[in-house]
Amino acid sequence: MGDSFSSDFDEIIADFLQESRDMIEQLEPTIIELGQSCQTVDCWAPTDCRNTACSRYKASFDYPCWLHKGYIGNGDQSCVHADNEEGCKKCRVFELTNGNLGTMNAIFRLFHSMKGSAGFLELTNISGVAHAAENLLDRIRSGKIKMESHHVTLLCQACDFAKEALDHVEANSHDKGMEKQAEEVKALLEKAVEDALQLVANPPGAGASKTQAQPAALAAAPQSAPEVEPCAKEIAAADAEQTEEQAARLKQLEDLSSLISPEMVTNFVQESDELLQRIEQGLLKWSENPAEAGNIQEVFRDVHSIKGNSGFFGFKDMEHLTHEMETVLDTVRNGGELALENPAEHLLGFLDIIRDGLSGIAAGGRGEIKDLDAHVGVIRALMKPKLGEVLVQQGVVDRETVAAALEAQNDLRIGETLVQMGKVTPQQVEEGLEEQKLFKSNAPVPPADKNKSNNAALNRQDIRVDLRKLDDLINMIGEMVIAENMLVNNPDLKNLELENFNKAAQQMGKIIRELQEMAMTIRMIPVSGLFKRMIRLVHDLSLKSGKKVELQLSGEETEVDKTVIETITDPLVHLLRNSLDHGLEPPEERIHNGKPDKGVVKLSARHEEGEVWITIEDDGRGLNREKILAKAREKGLIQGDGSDMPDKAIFNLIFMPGFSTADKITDVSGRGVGMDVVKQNLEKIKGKIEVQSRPNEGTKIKLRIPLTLAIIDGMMVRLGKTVCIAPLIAIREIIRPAASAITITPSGLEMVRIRDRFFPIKHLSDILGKPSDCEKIEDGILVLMEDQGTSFCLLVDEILGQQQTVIKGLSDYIGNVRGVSGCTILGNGEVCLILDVGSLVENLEFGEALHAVNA
Amino acid sequence: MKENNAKKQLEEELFDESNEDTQKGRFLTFRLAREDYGIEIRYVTEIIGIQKITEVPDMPHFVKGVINLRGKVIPVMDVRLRFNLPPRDYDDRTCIVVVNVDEKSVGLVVDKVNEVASIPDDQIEPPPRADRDGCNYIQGIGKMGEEVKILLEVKRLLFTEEMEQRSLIVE
Repeated sequence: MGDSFSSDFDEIIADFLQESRDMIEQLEPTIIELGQSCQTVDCWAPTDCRNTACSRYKASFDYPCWLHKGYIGNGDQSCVHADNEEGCKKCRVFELTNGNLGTMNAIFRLFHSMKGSAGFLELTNISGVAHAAENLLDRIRSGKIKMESHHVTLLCQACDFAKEALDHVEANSHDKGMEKQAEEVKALLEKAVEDALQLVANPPGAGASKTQAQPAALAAAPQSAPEVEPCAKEIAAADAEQTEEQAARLKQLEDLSSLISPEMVTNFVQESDELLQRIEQGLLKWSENPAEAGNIQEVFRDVHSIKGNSGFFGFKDMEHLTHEMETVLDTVRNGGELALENPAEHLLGFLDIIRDGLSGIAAGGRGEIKDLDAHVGVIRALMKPKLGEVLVQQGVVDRETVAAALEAQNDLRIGETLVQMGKVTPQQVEEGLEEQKLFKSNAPVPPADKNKSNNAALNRQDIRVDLRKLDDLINMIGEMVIAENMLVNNPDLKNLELENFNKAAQQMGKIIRELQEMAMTIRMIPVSGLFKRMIRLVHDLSLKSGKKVELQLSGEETEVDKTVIETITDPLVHLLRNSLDHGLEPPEERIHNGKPDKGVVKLSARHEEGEVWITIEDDGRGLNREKILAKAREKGLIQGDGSDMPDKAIFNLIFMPGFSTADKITDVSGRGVGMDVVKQNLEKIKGKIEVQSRPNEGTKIKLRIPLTLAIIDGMMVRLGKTVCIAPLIAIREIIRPAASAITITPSGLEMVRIRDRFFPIKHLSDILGKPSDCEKIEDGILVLMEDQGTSFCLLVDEILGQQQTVIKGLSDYIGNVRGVSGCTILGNGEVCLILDVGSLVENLEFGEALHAVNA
Repeated sequence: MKENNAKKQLEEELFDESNEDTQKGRFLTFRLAREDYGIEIRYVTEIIGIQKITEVPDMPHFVKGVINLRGKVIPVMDVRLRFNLPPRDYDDRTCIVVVNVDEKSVGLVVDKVNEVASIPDDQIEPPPRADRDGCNYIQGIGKMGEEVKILLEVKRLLFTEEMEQRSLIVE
């Protein structure tokens, strides 16, 4: 018993951790985005206000207008742009200062659900911090205080704490021991609220403006001369304001839809589907036993949740319909009577309609509901019409009378009041009551349009799987490819005519290939999560360094293997840090160099040439060729003065361990460790780095990562008794050289001429340290290979053929082997090495100098 | 014949692996040149006959290359070469003892496998002082009646300074 409970509890905790981490990942970029959108504005500018009578007109204040002149707080309510609090919150000025309401609500909700879940699991520290953050956010969104830039930092801190606490919970399944940190963060958040409230209570010289009232008065003077005009102008302004407000609202919608990710929609659909199921069960219970409306409370709450979520996502029709349902349920829950005997039946009908809407959303629609008005009419009809309305319909009294009666009504029934007022006779009331009862039986029946065809789309489409299981699956498939090779190329079958067998083998081969591809895609996840994490990093760094930075993301939907994501996280962090710390100049210097003061860092991902390319590009000062060269000379990394080295070779020097040209070491970077890590991590996943840089124009670093880490198309080559595999993607040409095409320089460098170009020759026998069958170059075969623009010819004895191979690592024990990227198992069970073209090329470029350094 | 016995014994031992205690003080003994050696049984996963080894360039001379162990690629070390003994051609008695240390599998090529033997602690002498610096892979000298077994510390045997350096590069 106890065991099953604790394992259940563990599962709940695991779910909570997963969800919270996902949430925080979404939260951070959203918070930062919000912080960036907030600014201090003068209220009259964005609204194009012409209200010259206002004391804020053409003046500049730190103190927000809605607390001063608006409808929130203790303002004197003289603002012409809003006539209630709601209107004020929708005003552009409010949005510009305190952030978009939709975004705000989204953040608020995320903190709120974190608080709820954490509270349920008795993780009091997490829920406490979430509560404090929620508090601050609530004040901001309701306009009680003004949003400040340090609020964003605080909220980020709260996220950091949550992350830390989640790790703690994962390890200990409780969050005890985090009290101190929690208290700190909480205190900071609470202090922020207090400070802000203080500011509101004692506005800094309220009324006194920064730019003095004088210019305002000056500006106001000519305006006030023609007395009649302002009025007309004001109306015109109000009109303009209205259209502007509409535009703003549209804009808000757009902003919101950009905020909503497809995953969020999927979650919404799933969640709503679960809610609908619960509502259905609740309603069914109710319909079995209409007298007992006890569980209606729950049904009401669930409907309310769907309504709220639909509203948040902007699915208007869904929101409308659920709202009407909610109204009906509210009546029931408060003990009111409905017009129909068995309302549950009718409400169940509407559930199907909502489901259809959800299916539409799942399919990428906006949840439009056909004949919405008709449905709404039907729901409204469920409500018992008020006696007053019935009387109006009968033409006994008019609406005004009823309205007046309703006002005068005290404790009495409407009918009695009307009789008292002498407007109707008691009989008429009787008739009305009769009619009201009749209405019940006449109520229209909701359309029984049971379109269940696309309900399938609503079923849960994802399950969480342990990554280990997936890895095992992929390994097994790799084994299967090898086993298939063993079977089809079995030596026992050699020289046999096996027509049927070959057909079957081909079929199997095809299926296995498909299976393999599918297994690969299972592990693929989009880079968006990784990129979003970088938003936070760039935000923090730009604050720290005082440089203005705009991070532009593109290709977030590009999918790469999960291990790739894990491996390139650190390199990306280092590269971005470098870009911000060394690449981008301080604002003054940028302006001096004729660039905008805000630096741009672009982070993009895309598929190209069977690889994933991740590019980090900045428009900073670029790499300093001379500085790198000087440092390299100092460290003895190059021979001679290196002035004839190509840019590419020089830029590659920055990836040497301990290489740093920074004059001073900051706490961000400069120790020369970063780039080394970048290179090592990329080597782990067989990736490559390309650096391009132009002085004063910026630096572009491209990470090229193979799409799959597990399978390559290879060309089998033989040297003596050894078989090796060369990756097909690097092979350009295979030739049998003529003796006349080969040139040997006095220094012993061998070159072959292919058409108009000369290529250096590398002997496979030198790489493997094994003897070759051929004595002369022209006896063997040359394989022309290219990697990142550098080509060379590899001398082998024979070409054996092409094969798709599963790459296996050469065991940790052995480590990295120069010239070899891994190995594979051949059809006969032998292990066969895979050549690493990249490192062969590298050796070519740096020649012996690099050898000496590595040795 | 004796070799088959050792394999069978080993299988039984490993079958019993749930009980760590039974593995204590038990050693797999094998022969190299003129001496008998022993390694703790808990490191041994299996014994296989010699098979084709694929050479890997740039390796220390005692790392012969890699083999395919049922789809897993594992490196193979020739213990003779590790001890700087003269090389000897492999024959049908040559065995590969697969050991697993820190989740890493490595094959050890030995002349022949003898048996699984129990050597109680009081029968194990510390390694001779004179030899301690040069050969830190010796765990002790085991006595079995008249016979003497040189007991090897598997971890030190595998991770020479040279190999540590390589592993560091990977990490």
